[in-house]
Amino acid sequence: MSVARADRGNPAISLSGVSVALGARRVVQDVNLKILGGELVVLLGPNGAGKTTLLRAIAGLALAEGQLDVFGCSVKKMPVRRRATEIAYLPQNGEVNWPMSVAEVVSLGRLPFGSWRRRSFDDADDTVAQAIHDCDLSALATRSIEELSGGERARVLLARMLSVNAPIILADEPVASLDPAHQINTMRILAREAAKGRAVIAVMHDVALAMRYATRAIGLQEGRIVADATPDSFLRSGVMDRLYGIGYEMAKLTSGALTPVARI
Amino acid sequence: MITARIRNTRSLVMPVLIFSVLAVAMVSLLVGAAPLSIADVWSGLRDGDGVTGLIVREIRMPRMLLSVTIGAFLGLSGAALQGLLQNPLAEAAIFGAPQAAALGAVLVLYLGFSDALSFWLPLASICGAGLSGALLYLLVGRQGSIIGFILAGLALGSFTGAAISLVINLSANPFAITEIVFWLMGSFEDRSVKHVFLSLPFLIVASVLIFLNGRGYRALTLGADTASSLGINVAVVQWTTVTAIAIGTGAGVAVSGAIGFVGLIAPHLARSLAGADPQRILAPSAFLGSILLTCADIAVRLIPSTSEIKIGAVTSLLGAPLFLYLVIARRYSSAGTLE
Repeated sequence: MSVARADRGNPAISLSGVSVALGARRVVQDVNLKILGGELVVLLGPNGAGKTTLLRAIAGLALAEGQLDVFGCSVKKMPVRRRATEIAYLPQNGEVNWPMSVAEVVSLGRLPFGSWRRRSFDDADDTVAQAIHDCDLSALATRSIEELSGGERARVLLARMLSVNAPIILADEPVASLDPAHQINTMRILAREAAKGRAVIAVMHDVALAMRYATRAIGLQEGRIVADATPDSFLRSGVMDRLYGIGYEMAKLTSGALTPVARI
Repeated sequence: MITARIRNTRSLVMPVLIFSVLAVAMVSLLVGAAPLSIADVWSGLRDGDGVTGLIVREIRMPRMLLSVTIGAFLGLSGAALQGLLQNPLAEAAIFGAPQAAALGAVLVLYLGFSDALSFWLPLASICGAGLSGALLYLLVGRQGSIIGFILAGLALGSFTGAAISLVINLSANPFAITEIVFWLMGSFEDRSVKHVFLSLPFLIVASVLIFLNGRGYRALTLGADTASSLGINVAVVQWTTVTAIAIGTGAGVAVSGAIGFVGLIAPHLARSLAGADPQRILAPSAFLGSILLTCADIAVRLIPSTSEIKIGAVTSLLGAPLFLYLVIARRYSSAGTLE
């Protein structure tokens, strides 16, 4: 639908002085950030750096202080129904509590668009069929989610998020339980969605993979942004060593791009 | 296209269930101390004269209407609560609603306000159930976690159970005790049209509230965070469900006493017929609740005994083994994985 609103170069997400407290602890502190349509931003940082909380705050799921806008509208003041059509969110370790079929689970992404009377799932719906196809799930579409492996389930949930067809995509560790082929496929999908003009933010731990697809990398440490650059300058700046507290060597790929390898 | 085949078999479910409700309701009018033929029932309903008319209009009809409507609400509320808590073991008893409703009604009976027919009784049980909902809200908070919700509910349930025991314990009049204990077991004996009109408005309001939350239960399949990102206000879904269950359970308990297990089993049966989608099982679960409770009410009239067996005892006696069977069948069907 409204991909056009996130045309390349338009500001999609804008954060100014955003902080989030969980209990007494400030998990995200004074974050200022502008993300444009067309960007694939990877959010990097050690465990507990506040990546998930920052993503949840942008999705409107965590109570945040400061100014947090999506397409110029405050996320906090936005009606939930509208927010649901603007932002697609893929949580870390997503759950599926009932043994529904793959097609039914993917169709849940269309929930914000259904009228109250339309109760049947419709996998003839282009968006749902496309998402099932993209995530390599066509052969599994009628299977129950209970019969799938962890990696297959993760792909179903990715397809569920894609079926929202929102101009903003927030993915928390989208490749965590996938085999290498599907990791690459997932990154390709995210890069393709960004190329369509969507703003994509993905929390990643596989830095090497992240850097090969990202247009921009942001390093988060103790709730603060410590680096924000293109993948190449991010890797050259040496911020990786500080971020994770271990040393990195930069290997050169045949394409000429750098890839980080942890020293052991 | 892919799910077309599944949808075709499922599209038969609703007509079959509606037909079954009508059939069971009809049988319920025929069966009893004085067996009637269909022709008897028809003439009794039309002219209402004589003994047949009296039996059909004054005794069987209200009884049938009560078992159909209260059964439907029990099935519906079970499906709603299982959808809300994303747990196939949930039913209204989990936050003490039926116990609290019973406590409200028992207090009214005990204090002698009511002859079991006035508006005081449903009001007291709705207040009781509403109070348990409100206490739950205070204990858990607006954005309460599901586990906190269940734990607080269990505490409330056992507290109200203890309070009922105390009332029975303190009651000086042995007849009052018998009255209260029998009523707690649940029954549709000697109910009139007045009881139907007493409970029906509340049951309808509660059911509408539950159906309005259907999308919410469906979205909650993916967890509270994702449901929220899909435009569902989870706190609103949670508290309208609790309110609806308090209203409906209060009204149901007021006219029929506490009836167990229907709310637990109907959604399970509905799932085996209509799939796992928590929104889609709402209506089938309601129809199955009607069928189950009306069948149980027919059974208590057919079982020979000196005094009529209480329906709550029958639903629990039949419900517990059936539920056990469903749990075991489910365990072995899910590819050998134990949950």
